[in-house]
Amino acid sequence: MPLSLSPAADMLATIRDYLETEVLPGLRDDKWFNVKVSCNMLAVIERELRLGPGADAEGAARLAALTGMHGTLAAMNRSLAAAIRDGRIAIDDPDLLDHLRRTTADALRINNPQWLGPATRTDPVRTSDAGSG
Amino acid sequence: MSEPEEFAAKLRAAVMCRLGPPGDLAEVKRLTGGATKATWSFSARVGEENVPLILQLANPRTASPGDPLAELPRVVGEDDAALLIAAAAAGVPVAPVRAVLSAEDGLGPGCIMDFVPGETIARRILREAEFAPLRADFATQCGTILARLHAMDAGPLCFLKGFGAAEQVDLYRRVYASLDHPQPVIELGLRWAEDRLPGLRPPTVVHGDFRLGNLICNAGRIAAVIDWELAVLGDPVQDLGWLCVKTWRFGGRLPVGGMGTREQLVDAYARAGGGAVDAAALHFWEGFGSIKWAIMCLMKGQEHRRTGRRSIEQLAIGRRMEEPLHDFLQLIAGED
Repeated sequence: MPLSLSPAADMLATIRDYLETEVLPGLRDDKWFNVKVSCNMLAVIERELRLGPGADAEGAARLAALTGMHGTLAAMNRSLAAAIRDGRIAIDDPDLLDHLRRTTADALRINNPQWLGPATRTDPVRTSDAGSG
Repeated sequence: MSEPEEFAAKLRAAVMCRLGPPGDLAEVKRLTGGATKATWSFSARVGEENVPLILQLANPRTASPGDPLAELPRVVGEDDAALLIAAAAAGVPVAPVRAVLSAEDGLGPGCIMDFVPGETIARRILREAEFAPLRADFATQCGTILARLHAMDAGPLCFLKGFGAAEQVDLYRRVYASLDHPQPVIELGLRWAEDRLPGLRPPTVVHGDFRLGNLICNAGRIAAVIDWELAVLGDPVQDLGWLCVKTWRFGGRLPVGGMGTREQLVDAYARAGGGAVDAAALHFWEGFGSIKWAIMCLMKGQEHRRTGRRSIEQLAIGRRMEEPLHDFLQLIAGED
């Protein structure tokens, strides 16, 4: 990766801020919707850059303990998925459930932290409002 | 003629021939344009009257041969219209069908129906003051409507495919497997569902996507149930469970669409003749509903690779997969 500045997260935050304050107010309908969703996606990437490496490292340590293998995150996930499918690990195994709850919560802290919070969410745009079918 | 002019000319001809002359159109507006269907609102001059109408057209689904997605039952065109007519006869609130399109209309499969005024956007229904009377009564109205919907006479609806719990779990497992993107929580959810398949009961008409977003609501009542394309013959409890899936609460606190309790829903359902709802079956459909939605999110997140069409909205939906997975893990831990 380049040694130069600016940091990627700062670039994303600056682009998002510009879109939100300068571009969005002048848009309507589907252009407004797509730019609004784009801003949300930029925020996701910002959080992924910040939180992803730590979450991956912790997830990899838990996966290694559960699967007894030391591979890439993708390889260990594939192995765990197969073990669940084949019944080699019980679906009520407490260590498995603990790992899955942590992994899912870590992903939500990146993708949509509000989902973990109290039931009332304030995000004004849910993509499913525009149709999920 | 340009494409929109040609479209307007065909639509006018269809209105004139099926609803009556002169058929002049005004305010033709495309409301939604998804991959599987498109909806327009417009008004047409019929005799001395200006009639507000909706045009709904179905597009062919893009699934290559051998793709398990192609097996997902889907109701389109004149079958969709027949379903709406049968629903109206059973007392389910739906938009009255004014005309069923045929090949000579040149618009593709679809129908023209009355415009039903109201709101479909969940966050408005859940938060705006004018909908307070509906919110208090929402779960009860859903129970009543679903009891009527499940009592629909399936006899004439021979196009509906049987799609019970076991068939659905199997198909969604194959759709998930075809994506080749291993997800331990989805594997766990599928195992959980396979261990808890509800007992067989006589199949009924099932709407398949009965939730906020597909209900046109006004201040005090549900005015129309829309989007029948996922209708099947199956376990009626599916519709009740899907309605309670946390995703469809849109941030509301209570289980039924964010607005009501499961007890209100099943009580109203039983009172309206739907029969007693097995709590274990309801739990199954709610949990499996979250897994289904997670698999759909996974699918949306890589749809652009399959179709070659990029969409901001679909990529965003891909990143929603963990929402239902989190909800599922809470549900099976007894935390919801």
